[in-house]
Amino acid sequence: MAGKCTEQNAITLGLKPRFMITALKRGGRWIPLFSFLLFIMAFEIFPFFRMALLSLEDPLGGISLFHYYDLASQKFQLIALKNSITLSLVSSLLGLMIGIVGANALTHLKESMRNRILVLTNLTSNFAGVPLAFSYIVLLGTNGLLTLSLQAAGIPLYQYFTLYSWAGLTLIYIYFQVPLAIMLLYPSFLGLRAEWKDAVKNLGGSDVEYWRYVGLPAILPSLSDTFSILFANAMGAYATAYALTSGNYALAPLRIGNLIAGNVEINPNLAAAISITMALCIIGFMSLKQVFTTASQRRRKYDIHQ
Amino acid sequence: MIFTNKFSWSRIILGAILFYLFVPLAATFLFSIAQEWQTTILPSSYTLSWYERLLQDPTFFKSLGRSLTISLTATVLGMVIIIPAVLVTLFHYPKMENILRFFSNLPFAFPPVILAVGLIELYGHKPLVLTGTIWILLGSYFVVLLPYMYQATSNSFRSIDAISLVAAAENLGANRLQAFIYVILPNILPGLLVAFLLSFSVLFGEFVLANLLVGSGYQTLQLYLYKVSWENGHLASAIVVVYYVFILLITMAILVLQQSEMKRKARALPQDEGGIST
Amino acid sequence: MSYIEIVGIEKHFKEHIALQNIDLSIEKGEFLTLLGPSGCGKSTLLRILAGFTDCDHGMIRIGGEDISPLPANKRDMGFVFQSYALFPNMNVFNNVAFGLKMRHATKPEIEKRVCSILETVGLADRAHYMTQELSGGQQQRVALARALAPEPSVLLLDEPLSALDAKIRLSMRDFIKNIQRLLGITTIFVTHDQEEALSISDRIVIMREGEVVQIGTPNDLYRHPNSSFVAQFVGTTNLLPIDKKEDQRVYVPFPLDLGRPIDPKIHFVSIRPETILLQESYGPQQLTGTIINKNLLGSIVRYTIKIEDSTLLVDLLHNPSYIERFTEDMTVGVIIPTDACNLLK
Repeated sequence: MAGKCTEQNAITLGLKPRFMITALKRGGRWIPLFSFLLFIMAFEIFPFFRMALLSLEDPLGGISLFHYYDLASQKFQLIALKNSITLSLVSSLLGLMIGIVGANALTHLKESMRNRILVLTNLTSNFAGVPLAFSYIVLLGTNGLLTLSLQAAGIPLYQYFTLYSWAGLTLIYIYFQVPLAIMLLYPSFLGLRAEWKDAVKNLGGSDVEYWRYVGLPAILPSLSDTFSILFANAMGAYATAYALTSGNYALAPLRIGNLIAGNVEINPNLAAAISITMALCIIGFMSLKQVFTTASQRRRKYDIHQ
Repeated sequence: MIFTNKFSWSRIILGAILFYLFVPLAATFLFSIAQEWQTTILPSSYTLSWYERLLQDPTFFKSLGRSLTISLTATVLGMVIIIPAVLVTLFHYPKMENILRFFSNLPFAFPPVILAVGLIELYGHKPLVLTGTIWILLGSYFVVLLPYMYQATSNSFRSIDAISLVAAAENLGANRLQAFIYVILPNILPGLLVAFLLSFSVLFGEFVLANLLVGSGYQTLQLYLYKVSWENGHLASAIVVVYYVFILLITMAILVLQQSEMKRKARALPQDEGGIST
Repeated sequence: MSYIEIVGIEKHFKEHIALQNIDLSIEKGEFLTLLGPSGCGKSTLLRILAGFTDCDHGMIRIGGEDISPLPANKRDMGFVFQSYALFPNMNVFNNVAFGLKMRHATKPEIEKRVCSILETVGLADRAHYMTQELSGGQQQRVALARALAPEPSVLLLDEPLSALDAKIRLSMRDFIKNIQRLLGITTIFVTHDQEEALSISDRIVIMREGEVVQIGTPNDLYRHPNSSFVAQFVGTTNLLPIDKKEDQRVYVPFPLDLGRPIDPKIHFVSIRPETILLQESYGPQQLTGTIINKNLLGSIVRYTIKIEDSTLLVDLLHNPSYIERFTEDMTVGVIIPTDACNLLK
């Protein structure tokens, strides 16, 4: 009797809890996804669209490119954009070159040593922003450590160079580009197999020919990826330049900051226009790189004689 | 011979780069222990009084506390929301991963300063005023963390071949949740911890959003440092040194975690016997 | 004078001695294999020959000329790497053409030579393919073609087959041997697989812990190993320690008549499994044993025979007409011919 009872219970209750459990599981799956989407919507997607709309808001109502024309007419803002692009290009290029040398050197070390140095570079990459600007003032400011040492050695640095100039800013930007470059490049250098170099040597090639025909082509995709990341990184950098010049330098991020939270004029629409323009520069640059890499890949497949 | 040449060249190059990277720090440290340092190359006198002043300054501690609080809260929030979301996507909806990757790469094209434009516009006016409060900072920090957490999670997920592990666990009788708790989580934990520490240190050094979105409403350590740097260079140096020591500790923790992870992996591999075929 | 003379090569690494005083002579057109367990120094020796690593002492002469001062890219040798080391950014044609390009050959010369060598290795229709698109065996052939395209005087192969599946390994093994015979190129082959070495080599050099242990033809090494190490490394053997020695008989511990005087320094007897005979019926004085295991290995059936306290492995051809006669737990007569016994120190 008892057995029959439990059997019956199992049948009537068995389906319901199982259904509920699967529904809960699927629902359970949705809890993290939902909260994730909520945050992304609220703090990434909506602000983005709001900003895009801001840049297209006509002061008389409706949609127009008014603010873009406004931007194009303001020499001050255009110079800031140009400065940002130049600064980013130069600092990225120089940072990349130093990074290449550093990443290559890193591959010649033992793994434990390598990791320690990587951590050290990671450490210094955290230094960017206000602390970095401040430290450079201590080092190369008017009465900086290095400035005075060079002066004592007979080199009047400040006749040729000031930290608050374009050259000085580039120097500081390179400082935080280098660790990033090393960290991004190093895995692909690690992927260069020692045997390729041996194979080239065995077939009669020199070190230079190795880099030219095998080494550089192999790391080229990583190089261009890293370069575009460095570029984006420099374009978006705010804190360092702000701290150095208290927001008074002609750089796009600083202009944007001034236009939305500064003391003089508040013009969020113009800020949005500059933002979109800046973002388009970054995206444009990244796409350019993409086009370049796919083109070179296609070429090497069909070219019999290199 | 060729080998040793390359070896020492590498050391010289890396030594030079590390020197270049640490010189500003050294200079700042010197400044923080200098009593007088106007126009001489090295300080004319040394003291620890700046640190004393710092440790007695309530504003300093308050700003330090604020930085710690927001960084910790945002990081924990990020981990609790982002990581499960990433895991669920990777596991149940792998085709959506591209969308996830898109969102996580967005901050590259749209750096924080650009984000601030939209955020101020959306949340700077009535009825929903979040600017000047901690909440908008919390929310935007979430977005800042996204790339780091996504990257760490998906890397760990892939490196442990999570799908096979869960299949093995299920074959042995575990349900999905048990598989996650007993099999997946312990294996991705080191990677997650690194993501936690990395995210924390990024937020700890964050300036843009704190400055533009909140300003004096919630003075973090970075904002405090900025203010002091215009008033008293020595005090500012001391703050920089303290901030840096903090970051150093976190980085050491990351290093220790990574090394123990490597050792664990090395032990886990079955030993290979050099085969002599018979 | 031999074509290649390796004289007194020594190589030390920080922690250990990789090569101790290696002397080798290699004839022109010979297929020589360096065989030994991992870490014995065979790959190091090959890399020293190629010029990738310097040796601490010693000299290498090819055709009478001392090539030791030449850098790796000036030595006239083809090298096939264990991992092939094919250049990932080039297709098959360009990989194979690379050596000719480095020697500044003209375009028509390159085209002719590359197409010819690709024909020889059977990959002429894959010239445009990227190397990542090829199978393991095909990549191996590209590596071989690349090494041979510049027509070097010596071919060096560093465990080229170890990355391949068993079946492909066998066919590639024959392939390499045939190419070598066709071109008549002096070849040095490194492997740890003794079966491979036995099947393709003209001569084998057995190495262990940086030293040459024995040099000889496959037959020499198999039938007359000079030490217990070689006896066990090459092929399977029954290595029996000698407990007691009498006039022309040893006890291993069962009695074994050797029919010849015994050197007092002898401590082991090595008997190949295929040289032992089993009999269903046996005489009263004959050596007997019990079959405790019967293992089918394919064309061979391997029996484990227990004789007193020793076990012997005996291999019989898997001939269905008589193989069923020997079953487990059966007592059989065991005949060990005296010339099948190798006496080793």
